[in-house]
Amino acid sequence: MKKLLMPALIAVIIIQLLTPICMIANKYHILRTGEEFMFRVSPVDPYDAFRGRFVALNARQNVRGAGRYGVIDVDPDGFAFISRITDERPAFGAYVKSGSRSWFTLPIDRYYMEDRLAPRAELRAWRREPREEAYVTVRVRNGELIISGLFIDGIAIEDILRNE
Amino acid sequence: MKKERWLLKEIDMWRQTQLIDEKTAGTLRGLYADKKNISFMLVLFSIIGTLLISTGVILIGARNWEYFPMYVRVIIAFTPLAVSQSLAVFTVKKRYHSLAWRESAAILATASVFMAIAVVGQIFHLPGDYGVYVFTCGLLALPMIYILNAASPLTVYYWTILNWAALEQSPANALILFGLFILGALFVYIERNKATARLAYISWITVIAGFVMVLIMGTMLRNSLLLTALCFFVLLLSVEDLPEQMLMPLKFAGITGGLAVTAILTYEDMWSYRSYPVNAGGGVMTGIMLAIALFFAVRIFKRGKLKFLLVMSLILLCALRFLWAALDLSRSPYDFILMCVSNLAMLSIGVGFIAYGVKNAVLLQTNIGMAAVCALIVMRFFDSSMDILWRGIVFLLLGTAFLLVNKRILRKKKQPKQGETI
Repeated sequence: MKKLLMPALIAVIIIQLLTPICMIANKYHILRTGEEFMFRVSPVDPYDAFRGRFVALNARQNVRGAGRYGVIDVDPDGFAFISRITDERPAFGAYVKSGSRSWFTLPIDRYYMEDRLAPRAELRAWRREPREEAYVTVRVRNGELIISGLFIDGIAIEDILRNE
Repeated sequence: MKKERWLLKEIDMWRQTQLIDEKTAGTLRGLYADKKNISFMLVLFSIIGTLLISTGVILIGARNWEYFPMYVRVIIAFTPLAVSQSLAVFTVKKRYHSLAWRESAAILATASVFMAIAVVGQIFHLPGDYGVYVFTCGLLALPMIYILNAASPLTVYYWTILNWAALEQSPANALILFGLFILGALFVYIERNKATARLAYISWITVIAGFVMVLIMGTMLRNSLLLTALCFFVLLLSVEDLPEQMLMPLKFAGITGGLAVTAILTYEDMWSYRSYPVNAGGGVMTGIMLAIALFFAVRIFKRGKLKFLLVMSLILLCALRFLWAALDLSRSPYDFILMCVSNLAMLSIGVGFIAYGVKNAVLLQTNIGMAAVCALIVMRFFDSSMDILWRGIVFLLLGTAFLLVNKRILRKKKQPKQGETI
């Protein structure tokens, strides 16, 4: 029995190390291979003291309802929206898993940036001209959604801040 | 500490009996007294120093976290995990006989799994889910309990699965939760022959975790929570043939919990509201728990009549509660009848304990019985839903019954004495 301890421990160590590595790999796999969509967003209160390291976002489409999965559709302007909410995992098409257990919410609430840039980015996005459209690009795969960029009028927020 | 204190007393005694002279006694006293103080202060300052240095390192790290390149952050995330895993390997190889090493290595490995996953999530901005996070960490910590034969991660494991289950409630997850709980409780069963304080500790936490588990399962399966809790306590109470360290928490939780739930059921309000309709999952859960309790009850019949009667009366109360939910007996006059039955059940349990305690001159059982009867009397006295006249009549009847029983016991006690004199 004691002879088995060491191989078992080695196996557990490998699994323990692989778990966070797989989490990282999964994120980059979604960013590389996931289907890309654009969601309209509106940045929220930039003066929140707790939100320095990311830009707080609200998806423009106010979608709420019972169910864990939202089916993604694209409007004529090319922006994505949730066309249907369901409890069953959709067999076809792109869908996103809810950010909450009790009801459906789009898991688009934070865009992470460098610490020094995030508050400025939030302020810039909040003070944008009314004609300027703010949106995020996301990658979706098997219901998991990763935000890949925040844009104002088609220009990445990082580029805007760098040029200001 | 205790050894040194003992030795100092011994030195005094040696001096008094003139086994050693004053000079030698003084040298010995100084040697052991000084050693004791130095080692205590040394440990205390070492702990404080280590804590302060570690906190300082964490704070400086946190202040400069954003300036670290990604690879440095990743190294920081994985270092504690790698160190704790190396320590686990070292422990298995060289220090497996030491409980302190095994426990320390296991809890460190568990904590570093939590830290590594959390920090990796923070560095890479991974979309997080608290339930999945604790569940993953719990599953990764579980093997350490068995491999390092360590009890400390067991509490963490129970906490993670219960957290996950409370957040992810569905009938299917009730079954998964039960399976996961068994994986933890199995460790306690394996350790049952080692009659140590550790066994008592893991038994206690398993009983507490088990109680929370059945409540979560009851919620998931939409079962009556009072029924679920009562079934669990009956099950604990019925178990036998285990070491005392394991039985103690089972008995304690079984008796106190069983009496507490029975006391709650003595209120008419507990029978007059409409319960969830009984479903297959809840029915099966109740059925299995009662069947196991009944199985154990039959086995203990010959060994302990009191325990058998206690378990059987609680099983009957469970069955009544199940029927109440299944047949919707919340309407009058069933609610009143069921309330009366539960009052009688509590009274008979209390009286049973007193009778057993008096007969065998066991104070604990007598006190439990008296506490149960007193609680019942106080509850009914302040029960505003019961008519004052009825309360008065019931109290009069009960008081008379008690006096009659007392009189009979006294008469019985006198009879053998008369025989002896003759």
